[in-house]
Amino acid sequence: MDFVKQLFSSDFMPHGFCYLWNPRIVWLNVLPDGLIALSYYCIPLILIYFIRKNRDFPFNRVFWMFGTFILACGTTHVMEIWNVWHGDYLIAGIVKAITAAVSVLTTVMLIPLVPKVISLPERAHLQEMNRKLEWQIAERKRLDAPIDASLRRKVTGGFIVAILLTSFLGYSGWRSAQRAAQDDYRVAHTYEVMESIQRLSRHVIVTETSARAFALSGQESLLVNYQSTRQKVFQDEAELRSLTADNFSQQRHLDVLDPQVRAALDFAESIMTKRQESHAYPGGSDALEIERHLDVVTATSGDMYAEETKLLSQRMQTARAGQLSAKLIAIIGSLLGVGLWVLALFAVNHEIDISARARTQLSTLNSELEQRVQRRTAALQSEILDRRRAQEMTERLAAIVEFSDDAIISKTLDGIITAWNHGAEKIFGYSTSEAIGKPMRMLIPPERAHEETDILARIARGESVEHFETVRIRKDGTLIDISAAVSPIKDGNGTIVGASKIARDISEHKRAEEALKQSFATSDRALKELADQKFALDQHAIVAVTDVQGTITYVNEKFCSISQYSRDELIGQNHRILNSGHHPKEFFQQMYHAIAHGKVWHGEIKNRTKNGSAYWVDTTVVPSMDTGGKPRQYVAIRADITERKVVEETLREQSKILELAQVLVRDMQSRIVLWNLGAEKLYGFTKQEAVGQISHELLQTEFPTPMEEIEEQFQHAGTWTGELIHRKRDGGRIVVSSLWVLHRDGNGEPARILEANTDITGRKDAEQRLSAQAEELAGSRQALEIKTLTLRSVLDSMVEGLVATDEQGKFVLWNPAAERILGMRAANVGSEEWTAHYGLYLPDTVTPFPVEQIPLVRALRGEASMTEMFVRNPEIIDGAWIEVSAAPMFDKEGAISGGVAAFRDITQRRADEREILRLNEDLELRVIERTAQLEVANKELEAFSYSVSHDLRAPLRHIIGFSKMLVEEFGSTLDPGAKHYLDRIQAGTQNMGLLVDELLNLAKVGRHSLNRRTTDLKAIVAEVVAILEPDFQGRRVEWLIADLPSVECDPVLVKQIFQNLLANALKFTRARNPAVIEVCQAEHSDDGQWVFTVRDNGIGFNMKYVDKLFGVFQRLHRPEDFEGTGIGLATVQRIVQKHGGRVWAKGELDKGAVFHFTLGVGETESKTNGATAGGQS
Amino acid sequence: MNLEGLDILLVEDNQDDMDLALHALQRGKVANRIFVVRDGEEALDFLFCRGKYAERSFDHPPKLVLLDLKLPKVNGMEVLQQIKTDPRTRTIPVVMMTSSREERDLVSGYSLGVNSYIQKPVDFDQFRETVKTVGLYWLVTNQPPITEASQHLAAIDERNL
Repeated sequence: MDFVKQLFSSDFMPHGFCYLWNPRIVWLNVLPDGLIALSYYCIPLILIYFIRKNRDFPFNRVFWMFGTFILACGTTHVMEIWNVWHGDYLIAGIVKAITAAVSVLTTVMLIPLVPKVISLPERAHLQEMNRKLEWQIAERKRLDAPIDASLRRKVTGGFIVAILLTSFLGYSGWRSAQRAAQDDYRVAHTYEVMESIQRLSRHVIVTETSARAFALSGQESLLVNYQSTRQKVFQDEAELRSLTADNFSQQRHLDVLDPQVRAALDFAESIMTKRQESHAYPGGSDALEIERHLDVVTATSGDMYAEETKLLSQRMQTARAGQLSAKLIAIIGSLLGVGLWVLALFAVNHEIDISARARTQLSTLNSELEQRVQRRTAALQSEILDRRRAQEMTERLAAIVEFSDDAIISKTLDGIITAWNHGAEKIFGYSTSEAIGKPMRMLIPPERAHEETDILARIARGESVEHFETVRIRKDGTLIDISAAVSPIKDGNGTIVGASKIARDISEHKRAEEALKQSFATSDRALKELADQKFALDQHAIVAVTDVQGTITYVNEKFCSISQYSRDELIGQNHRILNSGHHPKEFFQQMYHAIAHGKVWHGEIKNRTKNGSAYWVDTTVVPSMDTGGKPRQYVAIRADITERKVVEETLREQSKILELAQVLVRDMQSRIVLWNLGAEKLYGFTKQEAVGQISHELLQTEFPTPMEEIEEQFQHAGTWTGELIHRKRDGGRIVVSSLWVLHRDGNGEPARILEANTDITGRKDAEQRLSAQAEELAGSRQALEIKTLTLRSVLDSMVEGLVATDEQGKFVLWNPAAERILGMRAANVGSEEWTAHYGLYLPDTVTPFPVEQIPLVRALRGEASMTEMFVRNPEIIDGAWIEVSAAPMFDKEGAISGGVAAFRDITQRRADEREILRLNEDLELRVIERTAQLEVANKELEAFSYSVSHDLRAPLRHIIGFSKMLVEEFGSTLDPGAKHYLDRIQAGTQNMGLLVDELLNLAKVGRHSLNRRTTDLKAIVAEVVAILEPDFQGRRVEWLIADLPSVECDPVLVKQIFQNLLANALKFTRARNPAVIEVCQAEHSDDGQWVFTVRDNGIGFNMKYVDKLFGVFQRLHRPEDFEGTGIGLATVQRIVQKHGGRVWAKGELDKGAVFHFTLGVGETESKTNGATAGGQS
Repeated sequence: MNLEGLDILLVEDNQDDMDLALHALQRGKVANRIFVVRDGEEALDFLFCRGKYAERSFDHPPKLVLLDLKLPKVNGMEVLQQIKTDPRTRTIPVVMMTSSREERDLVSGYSLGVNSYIQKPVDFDQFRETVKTVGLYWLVTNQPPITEASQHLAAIDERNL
């Protein structure tokens, strides 16, 4: 706030003072500034307007800047005006600074635009744009014309208001300026007065003082001083009087003062005169008098001064108030002005928006119009299409009319023919040209002339004349019967303009009618006859008529009575209601099939009455065919045959039953007369085959007693039963129980023999079997007895004790051995007493054996078991060890039927076992000792060989080195002999070097702790082959390396194995071309370990020396033939042994050698050839 | 002989081995300035500029130390350890020579920070070859470690350029 206050502080002198408030100059500055400011405010607005209109103007931003710049400039001019009356230079300066910044910025922005401006489109283009713009403007003017008026009005109005306001502002400003000037003037005036008063007072004092001084000193200068000052006093008085001319109160004071001054002056003069004349010094009283005069004057002037001071403060207040009001006016005015400008802006924008909206509205209306036009066009098009279609329709109708067989004639209301079709030509005989224009009357016979009039009249009324029959004349004069219809023809408005007549020739038709009448008469007569016949029929038979669906249309009395339905109940029902269910579907299907094809059907049908009882009817169904050959209805005529049917059925039933028995009838000569179904079935002979045959010949009957006897018996008794043996058709032999019955004829003479046979073969066989079984049984019983005896002797002689119990635990078997071993017989004690009774203990010999653990007890529970026990009882005091095994016994159903236990005395065995154990332990100890000793020995050996080889290397190195040096440096001076010796020395030392290395290696192998890892053997072999490559370069070597598995072994050591073996193979196949070296894993050793094989086709070896192969430093060849240290295989053996496997070899001189080794890995190892742990040493 | 800035310090107790090694080095034209000490103690005295070699300075160490494993008084491993733990001598390349490839030795050699470990082969030609290769590598191919002295030298060089 302080800052703001600072901004508005008026400490500085306003510019007005520079002009000395010369009104002309003041206004000469203020007005132009004002106008400039006004225009500077207007221009940016115009620019804004311009920019808003020209949206694609490229230099928009610059124009904005330019506008701002101009605004700022305008504001500076405003400040100029302000500064005339108020020294707010700080604000002015700030505004100027802002203006400066803006102007600089604008200039800076303008410069880069220069090239752009230069590159603005050419004049022609601009002219083009101009033309377009002009056109647009013309359009816009057209559109905006009505709008512009209102806009213009509004804008003008707005601007007028603005102008008024601004002028008012200016006027108020001017007014307040004036007032301010006045106030200032007044204030200044007051200051003057005060000064004047002071001056006066001063001068008065001076005069008095000078007077007194002169009075005291008498100096002339003082007198002069006094005189001059006195003049001044008078001047002052006059001045004061004139100055305070407007102040009445001051004038009054002056009135008081003047005499006082006069008095003072007079007194002063008096004392001076006194001095001059009488040279009398002023006394104290004079001084006092002077003082008094001075005081009075001072007082009065003081009063005046005070009043003036008061006046001053008043005026100053007024001035300040005036300033404040001026400032307020300015601020309010500016705010109002800004507000108005903003309003103007909004108003303008609003107008622009309105016009824009109007334009868009217009364009939408335009587009709408377009659409409507399109739609209309479409509609028109479819109309055209419709019209064309209508035309086509009309043409078609015309064709129809023309080619109709009926006569279609159109006539006017006067009866003149206007249209005549082909049909009319045919019927009436007139051609179209002959007919058109002629009156209809020419077709009408004279006696019917009135018809036409009637017709026309009715048509005129609008009625249509329905079909009526009449007679007309043809061209050739013949009469024809026609059937005609006439209807009015209406035009577009509905007025009747004519009539159209359709006529048909019905002459033929008429003739047919006559014939028909005749035939009707004939058929009437025939019908009468039929009715009579029908009546007769109805009296006798059961008659029903159904339609083709089977629905009953007519039943006669007899039908109703037999079916017990009333007529009403039957008519309309389907015939099905009478269905008894007796006949199969096919029966009725066949019937319908026949009658549907017009055939008459006969048959016997079983129907059902209303109450459910059945009746049989002998039926004839006659279809009545229609003219098309299809049945129209079915007439069924029936006769009741129920009774007969019943009898028939009973007989049928009986004969069926009979058929089931095996019956044959023969005559007195035994010739088969009847052979029923049962006989067929039994014997296999058909009726045809059997009838006529001699029965006992056909069946090859075997009689129990001679046939003659039987015959006699039979003749006498009239019946006979017995067992016969017959042969079936297929030769099968059957035993039958036969019953013969003699049948006498009507006269009592024996006529037929009825024979009924029952097959009893099965029964006979069964009897036989039973007797055989009985024999068998006897035999087996014997055998059983023998077996039992055998078993008994076995049990008795057994060494082991064998006991058995039933499911209750009661002993059923106790062999002598059991008694011997346990010392007791079977006791009749329950199983829980066994431990106590027999003295059974656990192997610790003191704890009684738990009863439920006793094998026999467990067996009774169903568990087979075996255990050892210690037995000690009164009979066996020292006790004995027994081994007991028991198992349950199961019966047929699988339930436990008992238990059996066997035990033997193992006392001796146990003793032996203990001895063995003791010996074993001994042995173990000894083995461990021995092994430890061996270990120690081994270790010592290893250490020894290690240190030896290690330490041997150094002197070896020296020998080799110096001998080499010797050869190199002095070789030229040496004898060949000497050189030769040196070579031998070198060779020897080199050899030794090899030996030492190998020994070291061997020792290292021994010391190396086995580090088993999954190793891919194939990879190892490949590595070794690669390492050995230099050795077989230039040679043909066939490597047959099989797929080797990955095994758990020490990769470093195993690599050595292969290195040694393969190096050997290479060495000993040197003579071979090609050398064939095979590596595989094919066999298994006895304990399931994998056996790896290296085979070569080299010189082989004699199996006699196979044991020496793996010895250290053992060689089977001379060094001259094959180099080598003899340690290779020893190393291999060492490694293999370390793995827990073994190595062995087979060879044949000159046929090659094969080496097998195992590594303590077998079947359980995985055979994956996957990731290896590496085989690099 | 100026003992500063030697090419090789050979630490070998065995006369024969020493002769062979020297022969090999000279024959191979590997290095000119080779000094031999006969035991571990002497080697340490030399490198730590004390005892007999108190006048030596740390600023000009030998470019390479060929150290035998088996030495009297102080053995090779101990010498190595002392060299590699003292910051003044730590940067000197040490190549150990030995007859054995015993793992134990290898492990402790490398873990103490030996720069290289070679086995003295029995074959003399091979030995010569090895020595030559080793020498060439460490004296010619390899960039020697920076000591204060060489820094000074480098600075002087630069000023003179």
